Amino acid sequence: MASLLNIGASATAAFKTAIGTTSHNIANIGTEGYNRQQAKIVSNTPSNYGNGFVGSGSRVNSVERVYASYIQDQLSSVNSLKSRYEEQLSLSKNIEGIVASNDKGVQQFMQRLFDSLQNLADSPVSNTNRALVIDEVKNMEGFISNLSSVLADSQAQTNSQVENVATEINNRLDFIRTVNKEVSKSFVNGSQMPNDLLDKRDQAIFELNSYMDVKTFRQDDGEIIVYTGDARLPLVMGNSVYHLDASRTEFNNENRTEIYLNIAGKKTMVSDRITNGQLGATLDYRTNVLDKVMNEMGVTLNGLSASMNWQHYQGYDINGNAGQNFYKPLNVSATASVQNIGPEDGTNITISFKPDIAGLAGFNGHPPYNIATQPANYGAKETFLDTANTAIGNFKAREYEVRVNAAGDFEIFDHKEGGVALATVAFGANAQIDGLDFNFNGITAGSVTVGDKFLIKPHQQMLQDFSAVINDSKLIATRGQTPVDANNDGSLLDEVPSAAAIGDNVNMANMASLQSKKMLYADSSGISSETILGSYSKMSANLGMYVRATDIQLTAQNNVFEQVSARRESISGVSLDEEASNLIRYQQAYEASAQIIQTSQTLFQTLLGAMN
Amino acid sequence: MRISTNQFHAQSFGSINKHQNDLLDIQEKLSTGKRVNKPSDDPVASYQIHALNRTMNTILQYEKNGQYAKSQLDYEETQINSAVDISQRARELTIQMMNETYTAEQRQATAVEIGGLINHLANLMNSSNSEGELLFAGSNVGVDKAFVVDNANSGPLQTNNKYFAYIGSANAGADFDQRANFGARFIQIGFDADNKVSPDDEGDPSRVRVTDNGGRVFGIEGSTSLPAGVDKSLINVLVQLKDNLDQGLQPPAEIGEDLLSSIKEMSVQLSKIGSRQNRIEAQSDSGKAFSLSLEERRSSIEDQDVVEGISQLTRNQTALQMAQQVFVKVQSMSLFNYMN
Repeated sequence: MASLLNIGASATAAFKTAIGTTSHNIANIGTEGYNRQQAKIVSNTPSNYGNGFVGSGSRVNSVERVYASYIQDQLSSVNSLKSRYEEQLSLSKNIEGIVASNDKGVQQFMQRLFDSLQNLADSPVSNTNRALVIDEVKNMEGFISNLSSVLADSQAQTNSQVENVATEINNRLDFIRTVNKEVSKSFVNGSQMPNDLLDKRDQAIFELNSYMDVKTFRQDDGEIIVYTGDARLPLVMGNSVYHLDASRTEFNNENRTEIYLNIAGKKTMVSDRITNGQLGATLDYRTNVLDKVMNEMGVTLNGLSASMNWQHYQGYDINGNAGQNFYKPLNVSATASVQNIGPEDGTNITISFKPDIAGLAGFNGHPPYNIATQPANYGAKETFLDTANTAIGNFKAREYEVRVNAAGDFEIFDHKEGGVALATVAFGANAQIDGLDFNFNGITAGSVTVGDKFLIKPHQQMLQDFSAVINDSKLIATRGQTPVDANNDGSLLDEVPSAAAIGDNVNMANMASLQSKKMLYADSSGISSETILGSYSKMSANLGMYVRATDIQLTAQNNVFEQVSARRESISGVSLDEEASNLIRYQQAYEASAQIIQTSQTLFQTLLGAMN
Repeated sequence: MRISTNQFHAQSFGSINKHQNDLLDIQEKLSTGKRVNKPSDDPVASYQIHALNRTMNTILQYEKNGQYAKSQLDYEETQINSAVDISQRARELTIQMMNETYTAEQRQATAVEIGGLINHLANLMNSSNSEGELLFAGSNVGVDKAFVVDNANSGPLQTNNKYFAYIGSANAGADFDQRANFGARFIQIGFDADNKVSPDDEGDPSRVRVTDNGGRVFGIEGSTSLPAGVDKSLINVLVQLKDNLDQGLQPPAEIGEDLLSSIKEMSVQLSKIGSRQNRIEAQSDSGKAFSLSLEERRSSIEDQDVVEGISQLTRNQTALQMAQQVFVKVQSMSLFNYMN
């Protein structure tokens, strides 16, 4: 009878726990990362009555979460990809909207600029047409400066986004370590695992993955070790947490935030190791969209300003003076790395558009020309122009890194690609690289040391510096070389450079023709493949391709995520119908168990009654 | 397979979300009428659209250039036609005056009319367009006059009569500028193979000349009536004629011949201008035809097929409604509803 009471009591207790677990499941239907729990009811050890065993009721052995670690891991890593493409899509769509709208934008302003040049070529002395050119030049400049400030803002936003995400990541890392400690304590005590805490840790890892890709390793004592996505660098291990350090790059004025890790006292850049999650997306977007767009836009603008300037140098204005700069010519200097030993801050390394014409026949000085520096004859002047146009074709949408080598000379690398040096320039010399003049003349001896690094972004800089310097419409050089063949030899090439009559439009016609002329992106045989406007379209199409590829990836990853998520839900998710049926089942069992107690009491009463 | 409650939600929400996105997408396409609204809609097409727009805009600009060139040439044509009329009249008078029955007084009276013709012609030759550019000064459009008085050679003439000199001729004295013998203004009316025009005054097939130098237009190459050194031009032949008539002299036969050849030469000039105008016309026609085919191509790449779009819209709409209804239906199913 005592056992009957015990059985009843233990059963009610067990079912109460089971009902409690069911309620807990129902209560957590909306909890992110919650795994349903099950009360494992086992039968108590039977008592031996000599002739056999008699059962002694039931109890809840443990409350377990229904959980498959491999699916959880898979879900986390798919989540990492999914959130990467989600973030990447939203960031790049933003830029796409800014830069590449079909109706408005650079495209239209450039077209209008060239139309105004055509109009001026039609009627080169018309003051209205001249003024119109100045207007259109200013309009385009205004548009470009809006655009470049929006892009610069986007760069600044990217920096703060990287910093914010790094903070979120660090919070998750801290949390994971805290749970690790709790879990291993429970493990040592041999007590039951804290299910809900484990869920929270899994959720933290899941969220961590949505910020950056990580690799996790489960230890026997329940601890989870977290590594970077390439499984090389630890983030959480044992008692240690390695926080991400979002800080500026080594180059002073670059103003660019990268991710670093401090391991064993050494600060290592880890941006390259982060490929997925929001952080991976932001970093990828910055390199492959923002930088690319800015560099390619820069090439377009450098191409425009250099080709317009040089064609303008060929002509003569209303007063008969040689054409001066139309746009402000490229002139940028480098920025030094903080780790440099030498005192040179980079300002003495300058990059400009200065084609290598000094060695050519007839050279009297670099343009813009004046009477003294005009080339010896018209033929030489045309050759110089061709040299400049070839240099323009060599522009590449690159950033450059200068390193001082053991010999004290300057090696120039592609900053993003690294690899083999593009060129080596002797100390104090200058050289033409990708159509640009890299000048080291200003560096004083001893101001640079082996291993010193400098960074130069000539095309991004152009985006900021782009401005028209021509203000006076009278100074637009519409006329070209005089058609008078002074020595009557049938060729103008040997004539001294001199202005044609005022109504001549040769130079303006040639400037207007730059619209249709392929100027940029020369192939290996030196033939340019894109017009100035075409290079803009190319940039915009590249951007479109990135967005589209991201969109396709996102769809694919969303599908995978749905699949894996369905599997997880199928195993660990709470089904209200199931819980309802459990509730009924346990409730009925509870009532029946209570009935056992009742029965036991009745039996006892019966016994007592018999004794009376 | 076990189905969790959240799965119902997730699936329903997922499909509603997807249909909403599709609907938004087709809505954008239908409301703008364009299939490609941003480069990512179709990157390859967007590059082509850019290129097509660029070509069409450029053709449009060439068309405008052509119109400008045509108006300039029309004006030039009118002026030369007037000059031909003057030349005709002068020749009639010359032939008349060569008749020996006329008296010196009658010849002098005719000289007054010739004087009027000379003034008229001088005006024509120095005429300028709406921009104030001289029509017949080659590229020297900004100077005061294309034809100036030639004092140096006018000595043998009656005091009132002066020869004229084109500014591109050394006879123009202080106004002489050799560059006036070139009219290097070419207006682009079509696509150019090398996108370059040289200063050599020869132009290229994609461009049409709009400035001419008066020395050539109004010159009489084989003139025999004028004394050596004087510019061989129509106006000087008229001056010569007037000078003869002023003196009551019978005009020499050479003058009539010169006038005839001037008419012939100006007709050649007119036919040149006519052929330039024809080129502009032809280029503009072919430009339009080209534009039309480009536009057709652009439209086929860029524009949304409305019928297809609307059927897609309806399809997406139905799908969204279905998804929403399914969601409501599924959500109302719960075992808890049956517990009491």
